[in-house]
Amino acid sequence: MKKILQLDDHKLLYHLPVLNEWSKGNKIHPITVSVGPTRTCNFRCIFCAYSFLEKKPIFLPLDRLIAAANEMFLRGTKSFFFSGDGEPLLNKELPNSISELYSIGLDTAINTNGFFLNKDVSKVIIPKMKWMRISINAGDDKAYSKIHGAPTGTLQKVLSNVSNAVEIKKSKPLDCTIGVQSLILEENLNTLHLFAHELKKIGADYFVLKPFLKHPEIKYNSSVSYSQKDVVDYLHNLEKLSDSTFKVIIRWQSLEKIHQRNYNRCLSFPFFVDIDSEGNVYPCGPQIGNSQFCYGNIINQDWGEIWESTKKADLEDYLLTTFDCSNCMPNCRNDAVNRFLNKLRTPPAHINFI
Amino acid sequence: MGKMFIDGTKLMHHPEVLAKWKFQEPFFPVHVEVSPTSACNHRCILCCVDYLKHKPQFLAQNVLVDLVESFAKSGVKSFLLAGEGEPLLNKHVAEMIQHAGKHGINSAVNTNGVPMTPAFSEKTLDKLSWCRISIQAADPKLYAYLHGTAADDLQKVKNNIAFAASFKRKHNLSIKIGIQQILLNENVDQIYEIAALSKELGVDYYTVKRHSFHPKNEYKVPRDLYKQALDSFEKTKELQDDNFLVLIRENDFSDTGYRTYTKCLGLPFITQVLADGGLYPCCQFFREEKFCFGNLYTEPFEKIWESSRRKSIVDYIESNIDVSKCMTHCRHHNVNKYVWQLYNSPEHDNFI
Repeated sequence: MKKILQLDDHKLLYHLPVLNEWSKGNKIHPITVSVGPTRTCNFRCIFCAYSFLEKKPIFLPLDRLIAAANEMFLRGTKSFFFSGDGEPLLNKELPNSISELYSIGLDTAINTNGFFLNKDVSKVIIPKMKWMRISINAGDDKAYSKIHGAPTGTLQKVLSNVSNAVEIKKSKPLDCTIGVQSLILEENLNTLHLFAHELKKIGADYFVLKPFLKHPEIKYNSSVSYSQKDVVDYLHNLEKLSDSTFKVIIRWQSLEKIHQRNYNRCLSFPFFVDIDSEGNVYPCGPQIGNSQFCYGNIINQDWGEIWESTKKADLEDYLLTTFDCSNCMPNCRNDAVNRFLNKLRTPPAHINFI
Repeated sequence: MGKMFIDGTKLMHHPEVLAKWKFQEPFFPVHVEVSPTSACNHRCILCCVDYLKHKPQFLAQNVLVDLVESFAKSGVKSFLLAGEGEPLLNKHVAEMIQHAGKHGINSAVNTNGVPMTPAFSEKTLDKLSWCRISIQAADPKLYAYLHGTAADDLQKVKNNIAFAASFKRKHNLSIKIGIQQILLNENVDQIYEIAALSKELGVDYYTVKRHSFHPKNEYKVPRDLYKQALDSFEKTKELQDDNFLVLIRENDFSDTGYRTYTKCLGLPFITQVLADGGLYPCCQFFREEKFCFGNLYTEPFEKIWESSRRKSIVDYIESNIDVSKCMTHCRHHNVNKYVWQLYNSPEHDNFI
């Protein structure tokens, strides 16, 4: 049976031994790691959650990442995801590092703007990755250039990279899922329909649409109301393009719960970790740059040293007992897991009567 | 104590058991439904075991007490006295409930309330986690018709419930007492009335749910009957206050009974003990010899559970039974839906 592609909600349920340890109050090791291989970017996307961080040509020394990954794998980490505060493929060592992580036994995935996803890169990484998601936030050149802060003609180049990637995947076939992601913005709303048709023709596995999330420190905001009837109808129509090989996925859950957080403790942070391009380790992406939330640094520390440090223990204690996450970025990466864990933490009456 | 949640499974609160299931390690069920008797003083038109004709069998005192011992030894966390007949007609159940209390095992009762006398309440309410009384109409004549009994039974039930509710409050007990309606063509206009009666009697909550259709019964309720009740549901919710909950089972009503899963994987989590002493997988196969795991009159519960016969019956059901033909909204339905999700992990599950 072909497995379902689930992008909304969370997949913590599929890690019962870890969940079980957590529910007994025991220490666990992160299941998934997000990594920013560089802080530089060839684009200046208007919606970028990290636009408040200055784009600097900082590159994570990936040999240090591999050293940390070896240890993290032994402690139970299962996956590495590259995105972060810049365009990951600008770090030219990344394709080889993805191969190395694969050899360790880790699952890998990437978010990229697709500009540097040439045939040579695709041939190295697609056989080694579980999925890649290319961020293309408009279906016509003019809107694309405006939204991504890129020169005209860029969209065509990115789409031809996607098309080549699909060809490489299908020639084997390889099981790397290739998807394209766009935010729903007023600047792109009327371009999405034709774009979805085009992606279907190219042979991408899916086109996913999600709401814009405003990081508290960025200026851009979107005026699209995700509950407005004409927007909802438009998105429902897009979904009709789905068939057995191509899916249009609307992140309905994200659209619905965009405004409210019904909990104030981030219980999920022990399951995740984020490493930025300077090697700093944080419990989550939105805290990158906030030194108070930094566990340590993989460039000058071994993973074990970071993980067993007093600094990490103190921060963990602060997050568990004091930190109120109600003012954090809405719908953050951890949100769905937080909702689930908060439910487990506040069980209803009579749980033994299942 | 947490909020009341009775509209879906609570299995996710047992990650330890789920982990054992996932890795195919042996484990005992979390919950057991026990029928202390198959006899019943009522003949409800909606009864899902109507086709068994309520032959009057009673589980012996030592069987009930030994069962509690087995639960304690094997780690079964809770049991519900309900099933094939009116459980309180078995005069040993109070002792069983008290015994369970000593062992820290959670117990609960579904009853029609007629035999729930003040004497019974005094002996058991401090030990029970909850008690749910079935009342299908607030009007005595309609009550008599729907329950297949005499009209003055409603008054007896009301007296018994009022006593239990005041006993609970007087002694500040943690038990939750509720009144349950099954939504039927005949009582769709009784929703507010039964809820108002519940509040008047001083119970903790009123709840209404769907009728489950067993393929061996004739009585049927239209699947979309609840749509006629939406306004009444809203009106009835207004009765809710700090001491009284109105629990409309909206998840249950919005589930048409169509099964999104193709295998029954929930059997290891909940099992059934019937009044003949037999251990059975579920209500679909009550009293079917072929599906009987074993009998408590000849073997203790834990032996039966660990037997190869039990395993082979569960395997047989998992791989051969077409669940689309089973009783709708069965006891395992919500567990099955949940476990099915775990059984079919999606792509990329390491990216949580």
